[in-house]
Amino acid sequence: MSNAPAFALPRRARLLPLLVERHREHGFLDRGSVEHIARQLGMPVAEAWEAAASMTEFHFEPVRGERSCAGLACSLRPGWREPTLPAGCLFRCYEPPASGDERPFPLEMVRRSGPLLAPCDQTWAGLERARNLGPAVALEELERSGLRGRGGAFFPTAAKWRAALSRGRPLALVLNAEEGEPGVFKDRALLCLRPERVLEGLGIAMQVLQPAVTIAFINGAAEPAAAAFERALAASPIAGDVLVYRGAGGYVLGEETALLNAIEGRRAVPRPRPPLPVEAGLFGMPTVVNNVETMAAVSFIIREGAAAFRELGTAHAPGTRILSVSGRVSRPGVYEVPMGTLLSDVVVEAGGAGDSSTALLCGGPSGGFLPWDLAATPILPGRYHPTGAMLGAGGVVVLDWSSDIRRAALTMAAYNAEQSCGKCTPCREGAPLLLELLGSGRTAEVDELADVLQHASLCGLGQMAPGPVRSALEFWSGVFV
Amino acid sequence: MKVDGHETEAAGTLLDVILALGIDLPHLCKDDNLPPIGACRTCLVEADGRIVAACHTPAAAVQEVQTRSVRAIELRQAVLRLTARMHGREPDVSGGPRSGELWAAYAAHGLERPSYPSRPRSAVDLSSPFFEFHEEPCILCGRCVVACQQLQHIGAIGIAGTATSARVTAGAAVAFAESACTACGSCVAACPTHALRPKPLRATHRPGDARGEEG
Amino acid sequence: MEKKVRSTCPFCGVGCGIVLHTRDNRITWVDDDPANPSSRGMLCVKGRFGVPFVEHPDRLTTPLIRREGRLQPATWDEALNHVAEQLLRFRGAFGSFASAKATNEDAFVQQKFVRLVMGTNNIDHCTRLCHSPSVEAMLEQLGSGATSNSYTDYEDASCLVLVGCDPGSNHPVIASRMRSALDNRGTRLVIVNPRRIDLAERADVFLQPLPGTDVALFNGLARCILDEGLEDREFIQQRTEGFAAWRAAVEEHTVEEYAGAAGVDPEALRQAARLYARPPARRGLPASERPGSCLVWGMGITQHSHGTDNARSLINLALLAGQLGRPGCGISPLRGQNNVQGCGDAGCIPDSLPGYQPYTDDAAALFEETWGAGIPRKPGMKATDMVERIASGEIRAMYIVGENPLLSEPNLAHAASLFRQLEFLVVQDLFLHETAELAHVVLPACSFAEKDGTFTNSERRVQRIRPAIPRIGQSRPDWEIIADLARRMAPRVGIDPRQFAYGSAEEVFAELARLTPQLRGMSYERLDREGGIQWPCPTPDHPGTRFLYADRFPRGLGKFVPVRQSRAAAELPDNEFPLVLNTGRVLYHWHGGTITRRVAALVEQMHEVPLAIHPRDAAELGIAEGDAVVVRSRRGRMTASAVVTDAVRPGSVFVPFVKLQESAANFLTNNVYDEPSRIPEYKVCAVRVEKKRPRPREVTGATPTAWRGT
Repeated sequence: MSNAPAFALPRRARLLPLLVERHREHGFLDRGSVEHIARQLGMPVAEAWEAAASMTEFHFEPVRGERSCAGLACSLRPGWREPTLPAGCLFRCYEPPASGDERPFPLEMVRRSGPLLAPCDQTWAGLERARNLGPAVALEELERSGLRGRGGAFFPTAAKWRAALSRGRPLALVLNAEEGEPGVFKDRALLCLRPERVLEGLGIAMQVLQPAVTIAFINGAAEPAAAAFERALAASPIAGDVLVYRGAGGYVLGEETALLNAIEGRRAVPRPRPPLPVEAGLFGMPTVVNNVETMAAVSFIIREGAAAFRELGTAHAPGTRILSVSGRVSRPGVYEVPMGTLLSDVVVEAGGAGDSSTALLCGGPSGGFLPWDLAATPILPGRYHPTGAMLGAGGVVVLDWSSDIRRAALTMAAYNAEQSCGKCTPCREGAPLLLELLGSGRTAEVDELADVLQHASLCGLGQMAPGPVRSALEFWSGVFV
Repeated sequence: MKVDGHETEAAGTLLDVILALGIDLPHLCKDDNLPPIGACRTCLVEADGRIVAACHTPAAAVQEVQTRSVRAIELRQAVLRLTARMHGREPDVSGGPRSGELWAAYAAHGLERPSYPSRPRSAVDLSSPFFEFHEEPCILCGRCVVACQQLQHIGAIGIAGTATSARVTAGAAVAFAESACTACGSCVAACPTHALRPKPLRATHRPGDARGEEG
Repeated sequence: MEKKVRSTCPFCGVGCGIVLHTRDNRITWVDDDPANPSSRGMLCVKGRFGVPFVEHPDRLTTPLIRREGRLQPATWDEALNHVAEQLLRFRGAFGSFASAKATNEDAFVQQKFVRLVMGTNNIDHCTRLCHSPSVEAMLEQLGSGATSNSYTDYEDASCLVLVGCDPGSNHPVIASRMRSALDNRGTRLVIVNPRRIDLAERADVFLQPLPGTDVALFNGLARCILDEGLEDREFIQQRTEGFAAWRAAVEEHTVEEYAGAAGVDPEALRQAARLYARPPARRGLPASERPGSCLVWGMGITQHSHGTDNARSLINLALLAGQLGRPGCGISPLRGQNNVQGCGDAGCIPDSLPGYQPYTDDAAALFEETWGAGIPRKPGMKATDMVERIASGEIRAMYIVGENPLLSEPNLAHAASLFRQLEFLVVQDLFLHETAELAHVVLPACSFAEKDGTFTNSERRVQRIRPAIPRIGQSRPDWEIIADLARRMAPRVGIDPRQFAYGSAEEVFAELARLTPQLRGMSYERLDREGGIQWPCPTPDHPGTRFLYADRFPRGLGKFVPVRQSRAAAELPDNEFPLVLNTGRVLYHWHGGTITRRVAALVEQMHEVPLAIHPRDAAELGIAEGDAVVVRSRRGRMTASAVVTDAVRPGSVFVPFVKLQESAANFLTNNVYDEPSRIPEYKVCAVRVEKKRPRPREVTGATPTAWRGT
């Protein structure tokens, strides 16, 4: 493996790191500093400005005080009030109410461990094995494992790698550790506790793909996770071969083309498809974007073999899945369970009430609500219910429908409206209207609008945005009238 | 492939094929000579039973396209109504060279007045001697930005902000005249509403111009 | 009634496609033309918003004859009969300027008139003032005087070297195409300019040499290439001659010595040399192709008393690196005016016939046979010489079409005194400009928007213009006026008047194409059907030529010509005039401003002449941003508005040569000339700057950032 990235990225790829650095030093970005950075990079000021302004975590004026979480799990606490400086989610749903900076993920919040969350030795045996197998054989092994992407879309990982390889070099590899979905904290758990496993998976991907550039994109607020990752990276065999990028928020970064735009120093909005990232992604290179959990699984597969991976889970969905469980449960935290495990079993294990009062939010703002009588469903890729509830990134928020569902649905609708990147008309204009309709009880008009969002929006986030509203109305419409 | 029952050759995008057949399909954010943006969603059609945006769907992957299925028309109507939300009032269609496209599409889809509550915006930038920007009719299609950044490679404007705060912005939120704008006018040419509009072309008319004495 | 007419932009040499929108015979909007291969749907501010000049109330609407000391309206018959009578008196002491803003057809008829009816080769045009050194050097070393590549090669190149030019201001659409290469293909960029132009922000290497040290700089670059063995030996061996002698001359000095003379960092010079000779491949270049470099230059090279040597040193460099004759490389003198290429192609130069054909019996035979009369064999006078020789009486009458020498000549006071000595001066133009005011007869010409014709752009592409509005007043197309005049004079000098009986521009073009080998395959019918075609296009089935010199040079082998740095300039700073004045152009005005001063929005954008001065010099002189300043040289004075910027070197000031508020840089410039080409040294003279009087900065739409001239 080469010791330095072979491909010099265009200068504008340094925009986000410079903005983040400046923001960290001064607490906010002003016009002058963005202009200065743009000039430094020889890029147009307006392009730097629109990129900066597309990052929802950047401030453009001084901010005083500490942010408090206004996410679902935190807002369920008795006596919770809308904070003066609210945050959509501070990703510590396991210890509500959360405020201030992130903290290292506590080991005790690993409620159920599995091959990915189990302690990882630092022999780099998987990387060694990949080297011995060679790229082609390693890729075959991965293919046999049946691994599908753990970011939430479940695209077969080996097929993605093959597609990129078939387009020719140079190609790019991006580790997506942006984890920005409210109620999901499993990537933070992996990065804080098992960074070597993630790094080994990344190293194996680099072995197979031979990328010209490898980027780890870590959520801007996830300080402890980034620190743990960078510490482990420095001690790893791929030290020096990975560029670490830090984001600055925005749910839309979960959309991988928006993430690529952010790295390129552009406005973080989704690109039209095709081309897919594997065809033409980062600066036009075929680009593989894989989630943290996917990389951890790659490490396990190459270490232990595809067969060992397939022993877990189901024939069509092998392996495990890490759920982030929060809300009205006594044992919130991460649960690594084999695919196919019943959702209701996990909720009961977490100490949820597990009766007809229970409602589950599955898949966060892109997912939907599920009543308890439908919760005895196996954890598998895809939807639990056509109105919205899905496995997605593995977020499960346990609620009491009678007291929570209205606020929960409005919170999700508001989140989707606020987090719309603003690019396409249906999502930008439709999501706030959906919130308005729901809030004012005009539920009869929701269907048509939800339909437009679902079928007309540019990206998956817009398409899935109606889920929480639709599902809440499907099961508990009376609450909204 | 077939489009609305006509056999035709699958080349380029669905929009290319559809327009080449002379079929009227709105495409508010797609310029003939610029890459697709995918923002306006007004070119939705039914392709092999799926709803897709014609401007960024390759024709080669599709066998049958319905531009006038009930489903496609309904969705386009709904998207157009959402688009019209941003318009405060009936526009002067004689504004920019390409303005009027939204209202033409509106009429072609049997729609009359905007039906969703409007979301009026009122910023105005008259700083350039050559053109004006009125935010009110801007539908955030992004054509001006693509013309500035990807055609002319000037980068004087962008769309800054997210959600409903997104707006066409010169430089780091400055007036056009204070930005890197060179007044090439490609943004004005691209605007499908009349948000960006030329100031009337005017010769000077003060006496003594021939001697360069004006000003 | 609304109309849309496809045409070609009348401003710079890029030749962008435009679509003129009219309502009730007024131009309402100028649209871009995505189908035009030169501009691909782009335009700049002048093309888009600068056309209202055609409808300006100042447009000349009738012929004018000077009577009792005043120019007074006359009929066409009166005016043309008067001109005919007068010009017949001055055969033998006559010279003519053609217009690089007029069409190929206008130029062709004018040179035919001058050669056939006036019996002289004293015809020239503004190429004398812009790229005559480039043409001299290219003819000498390669055998042809045009840009060798196409604009598309800027996008295919792996490295662009821009020398003494500011495309962002003067060729904006070419600048856009270059920026697209930088953005999309990772193309490398080297800028050589004493001013930090906008594009320098994007440069991999930016060299800011001392004024007038270009030969040293480029010999230094060549020396780096030789030292590091980066030259293209195969190309040198197979395609060139004179290498050894040239090499010996270059090796008289070291890289350090050359860099020292030019005031640049030797390491930066070496980097530039490596990038030019062997650039890293741009993104997407097939591995089988050698990464190419385009060498692009402007008047920073040519407008010096050693302009031809400067151009030679660049061509030597291209031959050395073998960066010619493939896609993605080439040499480009960027042409300033919309039809400066075509005006020369059509024969409006004193030393050759249309198509650069020499005055040999062989070449002249076809012309004489077609025209039914003999043509003079003696090369004519160059434009700058015609003006200087008014003093000696060698030139007593002039016919000037679409030019305003009393704005564009150096040392304007001196030039004006010469023009006043002319016994008969005809000016044919759109406006009564400075030169026209001295004329004995003024003839009103049509603008580009009122006539048919063709322009040839900087990439040798011949493109149509078409009438969009009716002729203003009694104005007529230039070719039509001159043909009418020629028909009146022809019988008196034994020429068949039917030689000038053209019924349309298309008929003129057909004759031009027939007589000019590189245009022979073109016709209006083809141009209308296919769009613009790049010459050479020898036959009707020839597709045109994207780049020149694939297999051979027109002269056979490319010729290395040894050049040595001479005195930097004829006039250098001293105690009395301590600063170097550099002149150039700005985005928002067209050259001297005769046209753009008549466009309200452009004047609003820039209404006074700016002077760029380094903060150090400004501080010493007590000058602040926006101050009115007086600039003096040994020849004249002007006022300007100070722009304090470190884009210029300390000790240098920059002023665009546009005339605003009666102030123009050419009152200051030096009428000394480069010997082979006779171009004036516009780029260097010594001046003194002082503050005029303090005053607050005016608040206008114009700001330093919007002024792309610095």
